[in-house]
Amino acid sequence: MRKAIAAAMTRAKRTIPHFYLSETIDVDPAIAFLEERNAGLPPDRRILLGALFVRAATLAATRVQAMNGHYVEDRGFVPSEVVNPGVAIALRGGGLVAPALIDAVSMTLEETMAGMRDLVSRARAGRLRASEMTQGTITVSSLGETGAEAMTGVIFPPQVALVGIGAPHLRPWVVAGVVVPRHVVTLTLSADHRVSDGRQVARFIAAFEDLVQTPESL
Amino acid sequence: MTETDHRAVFLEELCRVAPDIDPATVGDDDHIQEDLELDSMDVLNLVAALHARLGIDIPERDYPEISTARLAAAYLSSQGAAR
Repeated sequence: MRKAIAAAMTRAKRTIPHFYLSETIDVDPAIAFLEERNAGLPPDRRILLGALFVRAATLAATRVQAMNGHYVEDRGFVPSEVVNPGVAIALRGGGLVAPALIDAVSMTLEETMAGMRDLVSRARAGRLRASEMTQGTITVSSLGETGAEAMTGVIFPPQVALVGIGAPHLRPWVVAGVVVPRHVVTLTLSADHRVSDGRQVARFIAAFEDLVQTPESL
Repeated sequence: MTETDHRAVFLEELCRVAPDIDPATVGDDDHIQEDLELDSMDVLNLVAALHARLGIDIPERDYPEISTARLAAAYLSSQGAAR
């Protein structure tokens, strides 16, 4: 496991000219939306904030083609028609895997959550499919509910972008001219400068932020 | 079911959600996230498994009540008795 990660990450840092843009986003509307939605539901129908982030990243990727696809040595960037977000899952005892949720655009938020639960369960049991390990078109790595506030990730080649999302932190925030306590997350997008520039990454981040702040649209 | 039974059920479902954990090594006060490294998706899978097995629906605000085997055994016993 360590050797496979070492090989992929060394290749990424040697061959991909990474650059990074960050934005801190108010997630109280998303947290409130999920709390209200989950309150009356049995456990197997509850949705986690992480699924909402994957859904938002999936829809944002449909709007900015330069974030979604593969960079192939002899052809350059090959955009993908489908969005297969790789979902980073930390493994006990070290290491991590990022199996892909295949064709996530066609899923509802509920189906996205069910698909992620299935990926996590199978990752724990060592039953991921080979296709899931190679068909990711963009990676989403979120630190869960506790942990550091930001992460600047390494792109998983041959992909060209990674969405790194820190854990929510309570911070003073200005809403309608007034300072109020809000849960915020810091999103850092790692992108491949052979494929995209700051303008495209900023568009992706703006789309992601819009989607997260109107969770009912997901 | 006694607290001991509930502890056993909890450990069984915990190790089904996280098959790489050896139940014999889980201490009564090990925190399932901080010590046993379950992530939020694993916790939800555990809560869903306990619901299916025991019929006890643990709301999100009560998740801290099952964060260790000791707490979970007491919580599941009291919830089971209240049903």
